[in-house]
Amino acid sequence: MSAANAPTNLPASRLRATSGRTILADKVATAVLWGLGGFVLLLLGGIIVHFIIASIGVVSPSFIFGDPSDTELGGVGPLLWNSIYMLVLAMAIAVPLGILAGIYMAEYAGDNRVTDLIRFAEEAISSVPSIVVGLFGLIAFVNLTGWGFTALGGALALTLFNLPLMARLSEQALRAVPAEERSASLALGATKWQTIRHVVLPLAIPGIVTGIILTSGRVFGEAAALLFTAGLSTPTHYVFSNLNLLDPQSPWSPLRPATTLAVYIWKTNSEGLSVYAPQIGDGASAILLASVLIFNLGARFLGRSLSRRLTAA
Amino acid sequence: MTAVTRQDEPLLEAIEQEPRAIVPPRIVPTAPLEAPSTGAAAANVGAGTLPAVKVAAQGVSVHYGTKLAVRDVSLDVPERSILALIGPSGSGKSTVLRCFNRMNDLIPGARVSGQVQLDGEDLMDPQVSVVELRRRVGMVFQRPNPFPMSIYDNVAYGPRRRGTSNRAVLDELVERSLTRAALWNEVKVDLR
Repeated sequence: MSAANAPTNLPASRLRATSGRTILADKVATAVLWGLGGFVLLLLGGIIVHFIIASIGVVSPSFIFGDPSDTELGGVGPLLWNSIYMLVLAMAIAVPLGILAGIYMAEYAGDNRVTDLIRFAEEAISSVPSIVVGLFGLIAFVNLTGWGFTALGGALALTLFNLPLMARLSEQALRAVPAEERSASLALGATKWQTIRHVVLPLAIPGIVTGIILTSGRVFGEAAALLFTAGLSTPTHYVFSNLNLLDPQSPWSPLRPATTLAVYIWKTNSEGLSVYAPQIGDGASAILLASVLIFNLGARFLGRSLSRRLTAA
Repeated sequence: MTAVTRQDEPLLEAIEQEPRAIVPPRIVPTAPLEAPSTGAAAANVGAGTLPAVKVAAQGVSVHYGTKLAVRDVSLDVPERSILALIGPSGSGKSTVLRCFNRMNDLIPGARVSGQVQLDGEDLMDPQVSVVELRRRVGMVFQRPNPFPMSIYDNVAYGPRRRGTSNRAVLDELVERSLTRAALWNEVKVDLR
Protein backbone atom coordinates (compact mmCIF):
# COMPACT_ATOMS: atom_id res chain seq x y z
CA MET A 1 0.00 0.00 0.00
CA SER A 2 1.53 3.31 -1.01
CA ALA A 3 1.01 6.65 0.67
CA ALA A 4 -0.76 7.93 -2.44
CA ASN A 5 -3.69 5.66 -1.60
CA ALA A 6 -4.22 7.20 1.83
CA PRO A 7 -7.29 9.43 2.16
CA THR A 8 -6.08 13.01 1.98
CA ASN A 9 -8.28 14.22 4.83
CA LEU A 10 -6.37 12.07 7.35
CA PRO A 11 -3.26 13.63 8.85
CA ALA A 12 -0.47 11.73 7.16
CA SER A 13 1.88 11.90 10.16
CA ARG A 14 -0.56 10.14 12.47
CA LEU A 15 -1.15 7.47 9.87
CA ARG A 16 2.56 6.83 9.57
CA ALA A 17 3.12 6.82 13.31
CA THR A 18 0.51 4.17 14.16
CA SER A 19 1.13 1.83 11.28
CA GLY A 20 4.88 2.26 11.66
CA ARG A 21 4.88 0.88 15.19
CA THR A 22 2.54 -2.01 14.38
CA ILE A 23 4.51 -2.89 11.31
CA LEU A 24 7.72 -2.82 13.30
CA ALA A 25 6.19 -5.14 15.92
CA ASP A 26 5.01 -7.42 13.14
CA LYS A 27 8.45 -7.52 11.58
CA VAL A 28 10.15 -8.13 14.91
CA ALA A 29 7.74 -10.98 15.69
CA THR A 30 8.36 -12.52 12.28
CA ALA A 31 12.11 -12.19 12.64
CA VAL A 32 12.16 -13.65 16.16
CA LEU A 33 9.98 -16.62 15.21
CA TRP A 34 11.98 -17.31 12.06
CA GLY A 35 15.16 -16.98 14.07
CA LEU A 36 14.01 -19.42 16.75
CA GLY A 37 12.75 -21.87 14.14
CA GLY A 38 16.04 -21.63 12.28
CA PHE A 39 17.98 -22.12 15.51
CA VAL A 40 16.08 -25.31 16.32
CA LEU A 41 16.61 -26.60 12.79
CA LEU A 42 20.29 -25.75 12.98
CA LEU A 43 20.59 -27.60 16.29
CA LEU A 44 18.88 -30.64 14.84
CA GLY A 45 20.95 -30.48 11.67
CA GLY A 46 24.08 -30.10 13.78
CA ILE A 47 23.36 -33.24 15.76
CA ILE A 48 22.64 -35.24 12.63
CA VAL A 49 25.71 -33.95 10.79
CA HIS A 50 27.87 -34.64 13.85
CA PHE A 51 26.82 -38.26 13.99
CA ILE A 52 27.04 -38.75 10.24
CA ILE A 53 30.63 -37.49 10.32
CA ALA A 54 31.47 -39.41 13.49
CA SER A 55 30.06 -42.63 12.09
CA ILE A 56 32.17 -42.49 8.93
CA GLY A 57 34.63 -45.34 9.12
CA VAL A 58 32.67 -46.99 11.94
CA VAL A 59 29.28 -47.83 10.53
CA SER A 60 29.42 -50.56 7.94
CA PRO A 61 27.29 -53.61 7.32
CA SER A 62 29.58 -55.63 9.56
CA PHE A 63 29.12 -53.04 12.36
CA ILE A 64 25.35 -52.93 12.00
CA PHE A 65 24.83 -56.67 11.85
CA GLY A 66 27.99 -57.97 13.50
CA ASP A 67 28.45 -59.26 17.02
CA PRO A 68 29.93 -57.09 19.78
CA SER A 69 33.48 -57.61 20.87
CA ASP A 70 35.67 -56.47 23.78
CA THR A 71 38.92 -56.55 21.91
CA GLU A 72 38.08 -55.10 18.49
CA LEU A 73 35.48 -52.69 17.09
CA GLY A 74 32.96 -55.47 16.66
CA GLY A 75 29.32 -54.77 15.84
CA VAL A 76 25.99 -53.96 17.42
CA GLY A 77 23.76 -56.49 15.63
CA PRO A 78 22.29 -58.20 18.72
CA LEU A 79 21.79 -54.85 20.44
CA LEU A 80 20.00 -53.36 17.45
CA TRP A 81 17.89 -56.48 17.31
CA ASN A 82 17.07 -56.09 21.01
CA SER A 83 16.06 -52.46 20.49
CA ILE A 84 13.69 -53.40 17.69
CA TYR A 85 12.40 -56.39 19.65
CA MET A 86 11.81 -54.23 22.70
CA LEU A 87 10.12 -51.57 20.60
CA VAL A 88 7.69 -54.08 19.09
CA LEU A 89 7.00 -55.68 22.47
CA ALA A 90 6.51 -52.38 24.31
CA MET A 91 4.37 -50.89 21.55
CA ALA A 92 2.28 -54.04 21.27
CA ILE A 93 1.30 -53.48 24.90
CA ALA A 94 1.07 -49.69 25.04
CA VAL A 95 -0.51 -48.78 21.70
CA PRO A 96 -3.72 -50.86 21.69
CA LEU A 97 -4.34 -50.33 25.40
CA GLY A 98 -3.47 -46.65 25.17
CA ILE A 99 -5.78 -46.02 22.23
CA LEU A 100 -8.64 -47.91 23.87
CA ALA A 101 -8.10 -46.00 27.10
CA GLY A 102 -8.00 -42.76 25.10
CA ILE A 103 -11.27 -43.64 23.37
CA TYR A 104 -12.87 -44.36 26.71
CA MET A 105 -11.60 -41.15 28.27
CA ALA A 106 -12.56 -38.97 25.31
CA GLU A 107 -15.88 -40.48 24.26
CA TYR A 108 -17.39 -42.33 27.20
CA ALA A 109 -15.99 -41.24 30.56
CA GLY A 110 -17.20 -37.65 30.49
CA ASP A 111 -15.88 -34.90 32.70
CA ASN A 112 -16.02 -35.34 36.43
CA ARG A 113 -13.71 -35.47 39.40
CA VAL A 114 -12.73 -39.10 38.79
CA THR A 115 -11.72 -38.49 35.18
CA ASP A 116 -9.87 -35.33 36.18
CA LEU A 117 -7.95 -37.42 38.69
CA ILE A 118 -7.20 -40.05 36.02
CA ARG A 119 -5.91 -37.39 33.64
CA PHE A 120 -3.76 -35.90 36.36
CA ALA A 121 -2.40 -39.35 37.20
CA GLU A 122 -1.67 -40.08 33.54
CA GLU A 123 0.37 -36.92 33.20
CA ALA A 124 2.11 -37.43 36.51
CA ILE A 125 3.08 -41.06 35.87
CA SER A 126 4.31 -40.41 32.35
CA SER A 127 6.76 -37.86 33.69
CA VAL A 128 8.14 -39.90 36.59
CA PRO A 129 11.95 -40.02 36.28
CA SER A 130 12.78 -43.16 34.35
CA ILE A 131 15.36 -44.36 36.86
CA VAL A 132 12.53 -44.52 39.41
CA VAL A 133 10.46 -46.50 36.94
CA GLY A 134 13.46 -48.79 36.47
CA LEU A 135 13.76 -49.42 40.20
CA PHE A 136 10.04 -50.08 40.47
CA GLY A 137 10.38 -52.47 37.52
CA LEU A 138 13.21 -54.24 39.32
CA ILE A 139 10.91 -54.93 42.26
CA ALA A 140 7.79 -55.70 40.27
CA PHE A 141 8.89 -57.40 37.05
CA VAL A 142 12.27 -58.87 38.02
CA ASN A 143 12.08 -59.94 41.64
CA LEU A 144 8.38 -60.34 42.39
CA THR A 145 7.72 -62.31 39.20
CA GLY A 146 10.95 -64.23 39.58
CA TRP A 147 11.72 -63.79 35.90
CA GLY A 148 15.10 -62.17 36.40
CA PHE A 149 16.21 -59.66 33.77
CA THR A 150 13.94 -60.12 30.77
CA ALA A 151 12.86 -58.27 27.65
CA LEU A 152 9.26 -58.63 28.83
CA GLY A 153 10.14 -57.07 32.19
CA GLY A 154 11.80 -54.19 30.35
CA ALA A 155 8.83 -53.74 28.06
CA LEU A 156 6.47 -53.70 31.06
CA ALA A 157 8.62 -51.09 32.80
CA LEU A 158 8.47 -48.97 29.65
CA THR A 159 4.70 -49.49 29.58
CA LEU A 160 4.47 -47.86 33.01
CA PHE A 161 5.12 -44.46 31.51
CA ASN A 162 4.22 -45.19 27.89
CA LEU A 163 0.67 -46.36 28.51
CA PRO A 164 -0.45 -43.21 30.33
CA LEU A 165 1.33 -41.08 27.72
CA MET A 166 -0.31 -42.98 24.88
CA ALA A 167 -3.73 -42.79 26.56
CA ARG A 168 -3.41 -39.07 27.20
CA LEU A 169 -2.22 -38.26 23.68
CA SER A 170 -4.90 -40.45 22.09
CA GLU A 171 -7.55 -38.76 24.19
CA GLN A 172 -6.33 -35.36 23.10
CA ALA A 173 -6.27 -36.41 19.46
CA LEU A 174 -9.85 -37.69 19.74
CA ARG A 175 -11.05 -34.59 21.57
CA ALA A 176 -9.59 -32.40 18.85
CA VAL A 177 -12.09 -33.88 16.38
CA PRO A 178 -14.84 -31.24 15.96
CA ALA A 179 -18.17 -31.99 17.62
CA GLU A 180 -19.88 -31.29 14.27
CA GLU A 181 -18.38 -34.49 12.86
CA ARG A 182 -19.95 -36.51 15.63
CA SER A 183 -23.31 -34.73 15.36
CA ALA A 184 -23.42 -35.22 11.59
CA SER A 185 -22.81 -38.93 11.93
CA LEU A 186 -25.22 -39.42 14.84
CA ALA A 187 -27.92 -37.43 13.02
CA LEU A 188 -27.70 -39.95 10.20
CA GLY A 189 -28.66 -42.69 12.61
CA ALA A 190 -25.17 -44.05 13.23
CA THR A 191 -24.55 -45.54 16.65
CA LYS A 192 -21.93 -44.12 18.95
CA TRP A 193 -19.43 -46.86 18.15
CA GLN A 194 -20.05 -46.53 14.39
CA THR A 195 -19.42 -42.81 14.74
CA ILE A 196 -16.16 -43.38 16.58
CA ARG A 197 -15.03 -46.15 14.25
CA HIS A 198 -15.88 -44.47 10.92
CA VAL A 199 -15.58 -40.75 11.58
CA VAL A 200 -13.80 -39.83 14.80
CA LEU A 201 -10.92 -42.35 14.78
CA PRO A 202 -9.88 -41.71 11.16
CA LEU A 203 -9.77 -37.98 11.89
CA ALA A 204 -7.75 -38.59 15.04
CA ILE A 205 -5.20 -40.90 13.41
CA PRO A 206 -2.60 -38.19 12.70
CA GLY A 207 -2.68 -37.16 16.36
CA ILE A 208 -2.56 -40.77 17.50
CA VAL A 209 0.42 -41.42 15.21
CA THR A 210 2.17 -38.47 16.84
CA GLY A 211 1.50 -40.18 20.16
CA ILE A 212 2.94 -43.44 18.86
CA ILE A 213 6.07 -41.66 17.60
CA LEU A 214 6.61 -39.85 20.90
CA THR A 215 6.10 -43.09 22.80
CA SER A 216 8.41 -45.06 20.52
CA GLY A 217 11.08 -42.41 20.89
CA ARG A 218 11.14 -43.13 24.60
CA VAL A 219 11.48 -46.86 23.96
CA PHE A 220 14.39 -46.35 21.56
CA GLY A 221 16.13 -43.85 23.75
CA GLU A 222 15.41 -45.23 27.21
CA ALA A 223 18.35 -46.56 29.17
CA ALA A 224 17.69 -45.90 32.85
CA ALA A 225 14.41 -47.79 33.06
CA LEU A 226 15.92 -50.78 31.29
CA LEU A 227 19.16 -51.12 33.24
CA PHE A 228 17.51 -53.00 36.07
CA THR A 229 14.72 -54.67 34.13
CA ALA A 230 15.92 -55.87 30.72
CA GLY A 231 19.43 -56.19 32.04
CA LEU A 232 22.97 -55.38 31.07
CA SER A 233 24.18 -58.84 30.19
CA THR A 234 25.21 -58.37 26.61
CA PRO A 235 24.49 -61.32 24.41
CA THR A 236 27.31 -61.83 21.93
CA HIS A 237 25.53 -63.83 19.32
CA TYR A 238 22.00 -64.76 18.32
CA VAL A 239 20.94 -67.78 16.33
CA PHE A 240 17.78 -66.64 14.57
CA SER A 241 16.77 -70.16 13.65
CA ASN A 242 16.28 -70.86 17.36
CA LEU A 243 12.53 -70.40 17.60
CA ASN A 244 12.12 -71.91 21.07
CA LEU A 245 10.38 -69.09 22.93
CA LEU A 246 11.26 -70.62 26.29
CA ASP A 247 14.99 -70.79 25.56
CA PRO A 248 16.76 -67.72 27.03
CA GLN A 249 19.31 -68.01 24.21
CA SER A 250 16.66 -67.56 21.51
CA PRO A 251 16.47 -64.02 20.05
CA TRP A 252 12.70 -64.44 19.83
CA SER A 253 12.11 -65.21 23.51
CA PRO A 254 10.53 -62.45 25.60
CA LEU A 255 11.89 -64.10 28.75
CA ARG A 256 15.57 -63.43 28.13
CA PRO A 257 17.84 -60.55 29.07
CA ALA A 258 17.86 -57.96 26.31
CA THR A 259 20.33 -55.09 26.28
CA THR A 260 19.13 -52.41 23.88
CA LEU A 261 21.28 -50.14 21.77
CA ALA A 262 20.71 -47.16 24.07
CA VAL A 263 21.68 -49.20 27.13
CA TYR A 264 24.72 -50.48 25.25
CA ILE A 265 25.85 -46.96 24.40
CA TRP A 266 25.62 -46.06 28.05
CA LYS A 267 27.42 -49.23 29.06
CA THR A 268 30.35 -49.04 26.65
CA ASN A 269 30.94 -45.42 27.58
CA SER A 270 30.70 -45.88 31.34
CA GLU A 271 31.96 -49.30 32.22
CA GLY A 272 33.00 -50.81 28.91
CA LEU A 273 36.39 -52.41 28.58
CA SER A 274 36.74 -51.83 24.85
CA VAL A 275 39.30 -49.29 23.66
CA TYR A 276 36.89 -48.63 20.80
CA ALA A 277 34.22 -47.30 23.19
CA PRO A 278 34.05 -43.79 21.61
CA GLN A 279 33.74 -45.21 18.08
CA ILE A 280 31.15 -47.75 19.18
CA GLY A 281 29.24 -44.94 20.90
CA ASP A 282 29.27 -42.76 17.79
CA GLY A 283 28.34 -45.58 15.43
CA ALA A 284 25.59 -46.90 17.69
CA SER A 285 24.20 -43.37 18.12
CA ALA A 286 24.08 -42.87 14.38
CA ILE A 287 22.26 -46.18 13.96
CA LEU A 288 19.85 -45.26 16.76
CA LEU A 289 19.16 -41.92 15.11
CA ALA A 290 18.60 -43.56 11.73
CA SER A 291 16.28 -46.16 13.30
CA VAL A 292 14.18 -43.45 14.93
CA LEU A 293 13.97 -41.58 11.63
CA ILE A 294 12.96 -44.71 9.72
CA PHE A 295 10.41 -45.60 12.37
CA ASN A 296 8.87 -42.10 12.37
CA LEU A 297 8.53 -41.98 8.60
CA GLY A 298 7.14 -45.52 8.61
CA ALA A 299 4.61 -44.64 11.32
CA ARG A 300 3.41 -41.58 9.37
CA PHE A 301 3.06 -43.64 6.22
CA LEU A 302 1.18 -46.44 8.00
CA GLY A 303 -1.01 -43.87 9.74
CA ARG A 304 -2.04 -42.37 6.43
CA SER A 305 -2.94 -45.68 4.87
CA LEU A 306 -4.73 -46.77 8.03
CA SER A 307 -6.73 -43.56 8.02
CA ARG A 308 -7.74 -44.24 4.44
CA ARG A 309 -8.66 -47.83 5.25
CA LEU A 310 -10.79 -46.77 8.22
CA THR A 311 -12.80 -44.21 6.29
CA ALA A 312 -13.48 -46.53 3.36
CA ALA A 313 -16.68 -48.60 3.57
CA MET B 1 -32.96 -0.50 1.09
CA THR B 2 -36.02 -1.15 -1.04
CA ALA B 3 -39.48 -0.15 0.01
CA VAL B 4 -41.33 -2.57 2.20
CA THR B 5 -44.31 -3.99 0.38
CA ARG B 6 -47.40 -5.47 1.88
CA GLN B 7 -46.19 -8.96 1.06
CA ASP B 8 -43.08 -8.53 3.18
CA GLU B 9 -45.00 -7.67 6.32
CA PRO B 10 -45.50 -11.12 7.84
CA LEU B 11 -41.88 -11.94 7.20
CA LEU B 12 -40.65 -8.72 8.74
CA GLU B 13 -42.98 -9.21 11.66
CA ALA B 14 -41.47 -12.61 12.26
CA ILE B 15 -37.98 -11.19 12.08
CA GLU B 16 -38.87 -8.49 14.59
CA GLN B 17 -40.20 -11.02 17.08
CA GLU B 18 -38.82 -11.57 20.54
CA PRO B 19 -35.99 -14.09 20.57
CA ARG B 20 -38.01 -17.24 21.06
CA ALA B 21 -39.46 -19.66 18.58
CA ILE B 22 -42.79 -18.31 17.39
CA VAL B 23 -44.82 -20.58 15.21
CA PRO B 24 -48.47 -20.70 14.30
CA PRO B 25 -50.40 -23.20 16.42
CA ARG B 26 -51.30 -25.20 13.36
CA ILE B 27 -49.72 -25.15 9.96
CA VAL B 28 -52.06 -25.51 7.05
CA PRO B 29 -50.43 -26.98 3.96
CA THR B 30 -50.53 -24.81 0.88
CA ALA B 31 -51.45 -27.56 -1.53
CA PRO B 32 -54.10 -30.28 -1.18
CA LEU B 33 -52.57 -33.55 -0.13
CA GLU B 34 -53.44 -37.15 -0.80
CA ALA B 35 -55.49 -39.02 1.73
CA PRO B 36 -53.28 -40.12 4.60
CA SER B 37 -52.40 -43.77 4.76
CA THR B 38 -50.43 -44.27 7.96
CA GLY B 39 -51.92 -45.73 11.10
CA ALA B 40 -51.76 -42.55 13.07
CA ALA B 41 -53.61 -40.81 10.28
CA ALA B 42 -56.71 -42.91 10.75
CA ALA B 43 -58.12 -40.44 13.25
CA ASN B 44 -58.17 -37.80 10.58
CA VAL B 45 -60.09 -39.76 7.95
CA GLY B 46 -63.33 -38.01 8.81
CA ALA B 47 -61.73 -34.66 8.32
CA GLY B 48 -61.60 -35.13 4.58
CA THR B 49 -58.76 -33.08 3.14
CA LEU B 50 -57.09 -32.41 6.49
CA PRO B 51 -53.80 -34.29 6.40
CA ALA B 52 -52.44 -36.42 9.22
CA VAL B 53 -50.09 -34.91 11.73
CA LYS B 54 -46.63 -36.35 11.26
CA VAL B 55 -44.71 -34.47 13.88
CA ALA B 56 -46.24 -32.70 16.83
CA ALA B 57 -44.81 -30.60 19.60
CA GLN B 58 -46.83 -29.72 22.67
CA GLY B 59 -45.60 -27.10 25.13
CA VAL B 60 -41.94 -27.73 24.38
CA SER B 61 -39.38 -25.74 26.32
CA VAL B 62 -35.64 -26.24 26.14
CA HIS B 63 -33.08 -25.17 28.70
CA TYR B 64 -29.34 -25.11 28.20
CA GLY B 65 -28.18 -25.19 31.76
CA THR B 66 -30.14 -22.41 33.41
CA LYS B 67 -30.67 -20.52 30.16
CA LEU B 68 -34.10 -20.83 28.59
CA ALA B 69 -33.55 -21.29 24.87
CA VAL B 70 -37.08 -22.14 23.72
CA ARG B 71 -40.29 -21.41 25.61
CA ASP B 72 -43.55 -23.28 25.24
CA VAL B 73 -43.62 -24.18 21.57
CA SER B 74 -46.60 -26.06 20.20
CA LEU B 75 -46.99 -27.01 16.59
CA ASP B 76 -48.40 -29.75 14.40
CA VAL B 77 -46.61 -30.58 11.19
CA PRO B 78 -48.79 -32.38 8.66
CA GLU B 79 -47.22 -35.16 6.65
CA ARG B 80 -45.82 -34.30 3.23
CA SER B 81 -45.63 -30.65 3.95
CA ILE B 82 -42.86 -28.13 4.15
CA LEU B 83 -42.62 -25.93 7.20
CA ALA B 84 -40.32 -22.97 7.55
CA LEU B 85 -39.29 -21.58 10.91
CA ILE B 86 -38.24 -17.97 10.62
CA GLY B 87 -36.60 -15.93 13.31
CA PRO B 88 -33.52 -13.93 14.19
CA SER B 89 -30.20 -15.55 14.98
CA GLY B 90 -30.30 -17.23 18.37
CA SER B 91 -34.08 -17.38 18.59
CA GLY B 92 -34.16 -21.15 18.97
CA LYS B 93 -35.04 -22.38 15.47
CA SER B 94 -32.34 -25.04 15.45
CA THR B 95 -33.09 -25.95 19.02
CA VAL B 96 -36.71 -26.69 18.09
CA LEU B 97 -35.53 -28.74 15.13
CA ARG B 98 -33.15 -30.71 17.31
CA CYS B 99 -36.09 -31.77 19.46
CA PHE B 100 -37.45 -33.80 16.56
CA ASN B 101 -34.49 -36.16 16.39
CA ARG B 102 -33.31 -35.79 19.96
CA MET B 103 -30.06 -34.10 18.97
CA ASN B 104 -30.40 -32.00 22.11
CA ASP B 105 -29.45 -35.15 24.01
CA LEU B 106 -25.90 -34.62 22.82
CA ILE B 107 -25.57 -31.18 24.33
CA PRO B 108 -24.37 -31.35 27.93
CA GLY B 109 -26.82 -29.60 30.24
CA ALA B 110 -29.66 -29.46 27.71
CA ARG B 111 -33.12 -30.19 29.13
CA VAL B 112 -36.24 -30.59 27.04
CA SER B 113 -39.69 -30.44 28.62
CA GLY B 114 -43.10 -30.85 27.01
CA GLN B 115 -44.15 -33.43 24.48
CA VAL B 116 -42.80 -34.28 21.04
CA GLN B 117 -44.48 -36.90 18.92
CA LEU B 118 -43.73 -38.67 15.67
CA ASP B 119 -46.77 -40.48 14.22
CA GLY B 120 -48.37 -40.13 17.63
CA GLU B 121 -45.47 -41.81 19.40
CA ASP B 122 -43.75 -40.01 22.26
CA LEU B 123 -40.18 -39.24 21.21
CA MET B 124 -39.01 -38.30 24.66
CA ASP B 125 -39.75 -41.74 26.05
CA PRO B 126 -36.50 -43.11 27.47
CA GLN B 127 -37.36 -46.41 25.74
CA VAL B 128 -37.15 -44.78 22.31
CA SER B 129 -34.00 -45.76 20.44
CA VAL B 130 -32.41 -42.51 19.33
CA VAL B 131 -30.52 -44.39 16.62
CA GLU B 132 -33.79 -45.67 15.14
CA LEU B 133 -35.35 -42.23 15.52
CA ARG B 134 -32.50 -40.45 13.75
CA ARG B 135 -32.65 -42.95 10.92
CA ARG B 136 -36.22 -41.82 10.32
CA VAL B 137 -35.89 -38.13 11.10
CA GLY B 138 -33.14 -36.72 8.92
CA MET B 139 -31.39 -33.47 9.58
CA VAL B 140 -29.35 -31.10 7.47
CA PHE B 141 -27.11 -28.82 9.47
CA GLN B 142 -26.65 -25.12 9.08
CA ARG B 143 -23.03 -25.73 8.13
CA PRO B 144 -22.46 -28.53 5.62
CA ASN B 145 -20.27 -31.21 7.11
CA PRO B 146 -18.79 -33.65 4.61
CA PHE B 147 -16.93 -36.52 6.27
CA PRO B 148 -13.26 -37.01 5.46
CA MET B 149 -14.00 -39.68 2.88
CA SER B 150 -14.97 -39.95 -0.77
CA ILE B 151 -18.16 -38.42 -2.16
CA TYR B 152 -19.55 -41.91 -2.67
CA ASP B 153 -18.79 -42.93 0.92
CA ASN B 154 -20.28 -39.70 2.20
CA VAL B 155 -23.59 -40.26 0.44
CA ALA B 156 -23.64 -43.95 1.34
CA TYR B 157 -22.70 -43.27 4.96
CA GLY B 158 -26.19 -43.46 6.48
CA PRO B 159 -27.46 -46.52 4.61
CA ARG B 160 -24.21 -48.37 5.24
CA ARG B 161 -24.46 -47.78 8.98
CA ARG B 162 -27.88 -49.39 8.97
CA GLY B 163 -26.45 -52.42 7.25
CA THR B 164 -26.90 -51.86 3.52
CA SER B 165 -23.82 -53.30 1.86
CA ASN B 166 -25.20 -54.43 -1.50
CA ARG B 167 -23.10 -52.64 -4.09
CA ALA B 168 -25.86 -52.31 -6.69
CA VAL B 169 -28.29 -50.89 -4.13
CA LEU B 170 -25.73 -48.37 -2.89
CA ASP B 171 -24.68 -47.40 -6.42
CA GLU B 172 -28.28 -46.73 -7.33
CA LEU B 173 -28.88 -44.82 -4.12
CA VAL B 174 -25.81 -42.64 -4.51
CA GLU B 175 -26.65 -41.81 -8.10
CA ARG B 176 -30.28 -41.03 -7.30
CA SER B 177 -29.39 -38.85 -4.31
CA LEU B 178 -26.75 -36.89 -6.19
CA THR B 179 -29.03 -36.48 -9.20
CA ARG B 180 -31.78 -35.10 -6.98
CA ALA B 181 -29.31 -32.72 -5.43
CA ALA B 182 -28.35 -31.62 -8.96
CA LEU B 183 -24.76 -32.66 -8.32
CA TRP B 184 -24.50 -35.91 -10.25
CA ASN B 185 -23.14 -34.53 -13.52
CA GLU B 186 -20.59 -32.46 -11.68
CA VAL B 187 -19.22 -35.14 -9.36
CA LYS B 188 -19.86 -38.45 -11.12
CA VAL B 189 -16.22 -38.66 -12.26
CA ASP B 190 -14.84 -37.91 -8.77
CA LEU B 191 -17.04 -40.20 -6.72
CA ARG B 192 -14.15 -42.06 -5.11
